[in-house]
Amino acid sequence: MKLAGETEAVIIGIIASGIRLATPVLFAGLGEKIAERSGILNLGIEGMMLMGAFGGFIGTYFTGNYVIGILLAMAAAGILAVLKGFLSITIRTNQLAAGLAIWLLGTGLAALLYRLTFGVRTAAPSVELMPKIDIPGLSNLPGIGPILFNHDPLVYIGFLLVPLTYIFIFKTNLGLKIRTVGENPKQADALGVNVYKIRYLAVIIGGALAGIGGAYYSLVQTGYFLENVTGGAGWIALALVIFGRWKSQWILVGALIFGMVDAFQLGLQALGTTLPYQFLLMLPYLIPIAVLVGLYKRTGAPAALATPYVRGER
Amino acid sequence: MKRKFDRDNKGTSLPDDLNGNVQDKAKKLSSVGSGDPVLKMKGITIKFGDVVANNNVDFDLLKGEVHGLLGENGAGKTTLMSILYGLYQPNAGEIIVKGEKTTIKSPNDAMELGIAMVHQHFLLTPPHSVTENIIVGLKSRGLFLDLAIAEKKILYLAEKYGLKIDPKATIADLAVGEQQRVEIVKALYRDIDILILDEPTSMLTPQEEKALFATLQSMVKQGLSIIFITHKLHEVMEASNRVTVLRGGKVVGTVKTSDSSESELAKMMVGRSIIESVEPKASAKSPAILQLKNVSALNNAKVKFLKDLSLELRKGEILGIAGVDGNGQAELAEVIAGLRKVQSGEIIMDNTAITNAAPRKIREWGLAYVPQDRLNTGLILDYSIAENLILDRWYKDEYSGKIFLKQEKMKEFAEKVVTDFEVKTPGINVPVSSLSGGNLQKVLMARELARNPKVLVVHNPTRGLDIGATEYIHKQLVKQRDNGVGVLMISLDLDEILTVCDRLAVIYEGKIVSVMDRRDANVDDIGLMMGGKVAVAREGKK
Amino acid sequence: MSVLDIVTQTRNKLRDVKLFVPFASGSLAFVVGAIILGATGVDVGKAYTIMFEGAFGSAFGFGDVLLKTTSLLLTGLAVSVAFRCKQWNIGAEGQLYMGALGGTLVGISVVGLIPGLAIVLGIILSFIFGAVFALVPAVLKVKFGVNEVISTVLLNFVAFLFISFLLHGPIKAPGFNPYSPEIGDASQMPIIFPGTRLHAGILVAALATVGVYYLWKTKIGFEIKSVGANIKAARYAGMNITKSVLVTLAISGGLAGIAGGMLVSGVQHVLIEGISPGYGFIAVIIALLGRQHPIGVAIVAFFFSVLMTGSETMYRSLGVPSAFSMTLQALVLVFVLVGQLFVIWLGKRKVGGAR
Repeated sequence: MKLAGETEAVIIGIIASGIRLATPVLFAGLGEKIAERSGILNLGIEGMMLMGAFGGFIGTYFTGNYVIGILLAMAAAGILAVLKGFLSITIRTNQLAAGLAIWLLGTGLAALLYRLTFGVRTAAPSVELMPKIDIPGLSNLPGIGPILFNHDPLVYIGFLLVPLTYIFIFKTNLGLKIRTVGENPKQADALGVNVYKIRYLAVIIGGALAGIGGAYYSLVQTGYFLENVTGGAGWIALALVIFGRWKSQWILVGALIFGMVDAFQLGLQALGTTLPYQFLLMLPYLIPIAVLVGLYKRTGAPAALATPYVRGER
Repeated sequence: MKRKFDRDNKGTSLPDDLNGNVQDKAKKLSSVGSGDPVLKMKGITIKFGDVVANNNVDFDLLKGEVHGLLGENGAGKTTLMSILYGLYQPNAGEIIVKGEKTTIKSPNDAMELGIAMVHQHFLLTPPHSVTENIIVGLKSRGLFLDLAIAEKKILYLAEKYGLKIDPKATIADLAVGEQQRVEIVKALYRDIDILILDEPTSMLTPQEEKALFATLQSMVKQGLSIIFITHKLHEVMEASNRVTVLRGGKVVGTVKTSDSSESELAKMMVGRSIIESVEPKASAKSPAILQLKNVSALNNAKVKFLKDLSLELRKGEILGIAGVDGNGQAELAEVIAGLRKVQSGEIIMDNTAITNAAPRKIREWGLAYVPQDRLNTGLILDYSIAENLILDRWYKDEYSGKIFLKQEKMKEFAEKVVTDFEVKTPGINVPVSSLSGGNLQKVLMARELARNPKVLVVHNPTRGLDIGATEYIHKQLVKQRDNGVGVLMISLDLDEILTVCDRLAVIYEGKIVSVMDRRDANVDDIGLMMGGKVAVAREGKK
Repeated sequence: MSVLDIVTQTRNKLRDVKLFVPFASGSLAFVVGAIILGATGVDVGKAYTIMFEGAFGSAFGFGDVLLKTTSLLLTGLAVSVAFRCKQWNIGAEGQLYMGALGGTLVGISVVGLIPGLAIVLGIILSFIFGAVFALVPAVLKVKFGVNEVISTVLLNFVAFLFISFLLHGPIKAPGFNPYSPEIGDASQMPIIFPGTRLHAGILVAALATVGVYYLWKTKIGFEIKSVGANIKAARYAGMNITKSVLVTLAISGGLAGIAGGMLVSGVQHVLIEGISPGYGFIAVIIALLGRQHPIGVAIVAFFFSVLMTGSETMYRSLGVPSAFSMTLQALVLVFVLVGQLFVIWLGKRKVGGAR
């Protein structure tokens, strides 16, 4: 059954757009999944994403090179991650307080550094949006072509990360160590695993990925750095990890749902609907809550999540 | 598939084609012949604060033997083995493994020396598979998990030692006995020569126990040397070649099992004469104030832990419950206080059925309970004395009006308690976290006693307290007894029971195995009962 | 307790390591701030001087400090009440907006009342709106086990969008801007210090502080405190955990709601998007630093208000971005958290007796 051509184009556009909107939370969600698998709960993702957005923007602005931008984004977020690790692993402070501190620090610092670097200008500094890459042959397929094969490189990397993180966590020795540290740190310690080192590693990886997610906003979606450009994406990512039961494939599903809903409401606005757009914008925030209600306490979290580990505590 | 089997009894070394995730090989035992000491611990002393947990302990392990380490709670057995496994450093003494003096600073060091320990509370990850639990932490050759090779090795070890185990199973699906086998294979996997087992049968059924002992035998046949910690006399008699008995941190003696008997071991384990410091009261004529009739209950692992337990506490007496930790003491206290569900049977207090009633109601009916976990369940450390004292009664008219708490009344109560109970505190408004253990216990007791209870249940009331505080608490208990309160004192400290109680009962594996007047108590018999040998009728002994 | 006792107690408290270390470590934040400013070419000495002058140099400036204290104190109290029960309410900003809505509705509909009554009604409705909005995540938690950190945070955005919707439609005043109509004179808070923007809201905040102080001396307050301090012991003592959670979040949301109401009735007199520059989020830092004690919260709220006001002056004079104050506030928290390590380490050195 063929749909009217115009509607079909809109739908294709929405789906393709949905994939792109899903990408930042996908990165952040996968990163947080790794951190939480080791037992570290990171409420500061939003702050790390904003630092990533800033880092990516500044790196690309001054060098014209996207790779440098991404690397800087990872570093900027990574530094915050090290701080989060220091607070949670070494100082063993309340993980909620530490995460909130990092969130606010990242938010403020990103905005501050941006303004200090660029001052106030009539025309806000911008970078060229990251170009889309056509996959030869595939992107010309009708329907699926534009949906799946006509995106910027970060989308493809994000998709690749799904199986990669799965393999990393479940099929490598390091991944087994991370999982054991998150479930039973005492067992890991008794068998010679350095619990502290593993947790630092996991939280830094999580931060780096969140940084890439943040950079997506400045380098792909807008071309600018805007304060709070992430709009709660870090919190969505947090919800995604719970929704996805700490498994990469379900986090992907969750991210796609979020992206589609976001794209859908944007599309509806474009189509000129009478529904107030604000209610549509609410959906991405309400759906994770609804899902958590549905999960009804059966979450399957790593047993040692958010519990600091001290050797020798009986 | 051809396998090259290792026939030289060189520990648990593997044929070459199974060298997947194998730790660096432990030193070969070829220099140690069968029957020579593979481990010597000399003059081990370790102190925790003022407590000397191990006092000049000598312990040796011969190659190919099963050596039991016997003693009551607090005797120092687990401490000694924890030193061997690298969890603690001794203050004095030396350790000689396979003929070479060495220091063991961490479990990693222990493992490199070929020593492994199976803890009483398993260190396993339920959602993971058997294989994953076993191989985590081992140096590996590549990036990726090689479960296939690991599984082959696990099956090989399982066959060699006669252990039934499925490497692909998930831990959460396994019964306790199977989980223990996983723990054992986890140890064997690491190419060990010495295996330590801490209370290995505490969670096993009789059949699983038999299977375990058979496994131990096949392990020593393969050249392994085994130490196991226990308090159960029959285990030691059945499974060990030699026994070392610890008491109060010191070695009482080391004997060949075949040359000894349960009574002799019990005497060594418990051996002391009864110190009469409190005059026991003859209470046979008093009515029962608390009765448990055939009470059964589950423990936290959903295993039946109290098995048809029957007990009677009389008005105006102190009844002691003696026994080794883990035989149902906590569960007993909790079913009485209403904190644990009774599966069958009934509990009656002063002619009122209190089985499975709400804790608050049971308290109002006249029960006072001082739990062993005074810091977490009984008190709130950040609160002041005054606030802690009203924790269970803040809603009563005495202590609060319509909206506000009556601060004056709370203050009065607190000051009275501090005076009456001689609580040493900088003030009644400081957080109780600044009080010493003894004073915390006094506050807790004061709160419970202020209710003028009919029954007072105390669990390990003087654990961790100094002599002065201990004596004070004992005085309080006697005072309550003299006022007609029925006191149930559950204690891991046999000395305490023998000095304070009028009657005493021994709990073993969820049942009361014997009740006696303190005057009739024979310490050797008590030792036997605590060790699981049900009392033999003693004719005409005073 | 005599005045001498109070003075002695205060002096002893200040000497207490537990208070001294946070102050000392918090000050390090200013050092880092100075480094950041210096690295971008700002004259640090001048910057900090201007900050101080902005806050204390004029009546207007100080009035603004107290004005911000009103908002920060109310939201800080809101979050601290929740935290005391270990309920992690990160939704104070959203609850603030809902409260602002409640106050606005009163203000634009009830025009002819006597002033005092209109104001009180406005406060009550702000409280109710905020409380009800906070009960949503509360019920979700007790009934479905939904983690309140996530639910409160996400609901913030829902609240913002809802207000936005209303301001673009149902309660929009005629004209181009998404503002509500101006609230009636009777609902507007009187200025208590001529020449400044400071209105009676500061008194409302002070009252709230006293209220929270006495809350902890009530029966229900005792239950809430106990549940937060040690849920196991509270349960063992027979306390009602569900009741405590619900009451706590309701009070928390209500206080945040009042903060919102004060923003509308005190300064703007209309409801607009962005009426709060993130007071509800900064309140989280304040609650964590104030150790959940109303006096502590008040002190930190005042201190942060000085920071924010001074920061605005720094922006006007030197172009230092407003994000500086939030960064500084977050740094204070980070350093205080790090300082905790020091306190623990000190505690270990005085070896306590075995328990």
